[in-house]
Amino acid sequence: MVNLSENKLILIFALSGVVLSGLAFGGVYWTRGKIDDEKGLIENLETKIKKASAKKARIPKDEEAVIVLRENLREYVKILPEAAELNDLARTVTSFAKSSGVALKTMTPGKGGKSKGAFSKYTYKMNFTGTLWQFMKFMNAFESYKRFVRVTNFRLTAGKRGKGVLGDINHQYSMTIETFVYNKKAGKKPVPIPDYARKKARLREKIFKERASINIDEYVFKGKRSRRDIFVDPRPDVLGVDGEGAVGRLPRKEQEEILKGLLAQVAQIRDLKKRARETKVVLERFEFSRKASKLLAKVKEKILEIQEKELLTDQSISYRFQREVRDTIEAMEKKGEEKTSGLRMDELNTIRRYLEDALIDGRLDDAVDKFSEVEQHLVFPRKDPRKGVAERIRTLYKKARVGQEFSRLKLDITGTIVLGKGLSTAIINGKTFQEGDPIDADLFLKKVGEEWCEFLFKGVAIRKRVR
Amino acid sequence: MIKINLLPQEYRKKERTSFKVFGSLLLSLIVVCASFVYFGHVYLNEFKVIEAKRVSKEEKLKNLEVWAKRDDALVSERKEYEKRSKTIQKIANSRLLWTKTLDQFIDITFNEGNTERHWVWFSNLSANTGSGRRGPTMTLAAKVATGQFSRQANYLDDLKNDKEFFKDFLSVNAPGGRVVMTEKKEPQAAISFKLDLRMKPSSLWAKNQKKK
Repeated sequence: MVNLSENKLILIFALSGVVLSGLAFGGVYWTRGKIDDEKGLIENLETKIKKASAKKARIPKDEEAVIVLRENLREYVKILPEAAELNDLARTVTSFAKSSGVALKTMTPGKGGKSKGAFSKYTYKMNFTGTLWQFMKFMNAFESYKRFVRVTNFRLTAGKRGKGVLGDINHQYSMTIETFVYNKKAGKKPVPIPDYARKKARLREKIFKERASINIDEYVFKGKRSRRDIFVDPRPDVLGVDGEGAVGRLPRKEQEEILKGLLAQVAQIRDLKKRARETKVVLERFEFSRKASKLLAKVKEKILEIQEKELLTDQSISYRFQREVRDTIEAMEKKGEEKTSGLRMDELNTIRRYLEDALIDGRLDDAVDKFSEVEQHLVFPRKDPRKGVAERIRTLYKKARVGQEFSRLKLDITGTIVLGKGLSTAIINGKTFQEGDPIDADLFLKKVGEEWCEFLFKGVAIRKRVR
Repeated sequence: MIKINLLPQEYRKKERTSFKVFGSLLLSLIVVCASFVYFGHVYLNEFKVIEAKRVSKEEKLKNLEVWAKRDDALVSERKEYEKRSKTIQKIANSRLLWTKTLDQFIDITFNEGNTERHWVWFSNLSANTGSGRRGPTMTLAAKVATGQFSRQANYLDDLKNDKEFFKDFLSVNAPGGRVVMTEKKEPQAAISFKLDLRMKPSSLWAKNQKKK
């Protein structure tokens, strides 16, 4: 071994110590660096954890929001047609055209339809002809359709009145409608939410509360309502409707007279109906009602005549006629139809007694007249207790009718031979008949008394005195 | 200077490690050991602990990330559904009921049969829903009976003054036109004019304002 001096040894030891310590401190330095890195990572992780924890905590709230939106969107899209329904749209358009009265000429699908988004737009362009009111009804059919359809644009070109053509004029139209189809599968897959049904049930109120924000407006078109077509020149022709002479158009004064007469009749009908309502005498009530019905029928005839001949050409008179006469009469008829639901029991019994008395007294014409007044009020459901009384009234009426027919038969009873035992005999129209003998078709001699004969005519027993 | 030891071997002083050498060795050893002990402390006690803490945090984050991703997906779905809901609301709210508008327009034009104030009719109508900031429009070729412009003004006033009808309208053109004569009609004179009605964009319609 090499002999080293003391100093060298000390130097070697010192240097070795320094080097090794340096290594150790180098390690410490490196480790400190690593520790700092770790601290940085931890800090970063903690931020991430904080964010992730916040997200985790938000899950129930976000789930709720998603459930509410999903459910509401499911409801919202119900207003849109399903993809499969689009094929039915052509059928729907045809049925709308049919019900409104327009004549569909063309229907062309527009561009669009294929879309990767959630909503695909479909457009259809149509060309058709019809009156303004038919067009409005047709358009309204789309606007009040159960599925969302909107009219994006339309064009109306006014038609011209042909020679001698009366009534509403047909115009030409082109209209574009637009609808949307919801594509459920568009976008990402929905996030599965565990226990969905229960959560949905719990959120029912919230779902409904938030759903109120969407509403599809609708409008019910109520028709012409006595208005004129604004796409027709309303000025009357100088030479009359036909343009061939001063025919077809009455002077204003005459038109006013017609309206005045009709208004008076309408007032009379109203008065009769009022009196019928107010009277406590049932038979009087029917009398008033009958008179009102007769007058109503007369006014209706006049209305038809006015409309067919277009007698009222003055716009203001025509408007008053339609509002105050035609519409009023229509309303009265409608009300009348609603009221024909049947008579009360006490009223029925009064009628029954009247018919019975009339039959006993031989007032057959009265009985038949009375029945015709109340006939329309005698319809009752099978289980209604009034049905029995109504049937009895009908039977009495049939008897009265048979009685009327019987009274028209020539039956001259000149004598009777009443036997205690055996069949009695009567001399009728110069011939002798025994009890039970047929006299004519549907007519039999039923019983013979000293001063009368009882016949069986069409199933009804009728007694007649000897002359 | 050179020292020479002339003493025999047995009399010579026994050779030992010098105190200085030993001291320096010991000191070096202590320093080295202390350094390594410190290093060991820093590495094992501080670094390993913090590393374990990091690993644990990573594990925690890994677990939480599943939930975070789920929430992200929910948020994304919520946004998508909100967008869809808004789209459908926009579609629904931007629908103009043309039947209603036209029905009201007919009522005003017809004026309950009163022809004294105005007596207007049209030969064509073009209507468009518009888009974006442009509201719907109605353009009509109109005529008003008699050559009096006051009647045309009356009609335009009636359109503007009908609150229910005009609430969603923006403008109607000013009166003007030319007098045309039709011999076969009574009255013969009529003012021919273009009626241009412009509506507000759907976002400004009364029904959509209420909802806000």
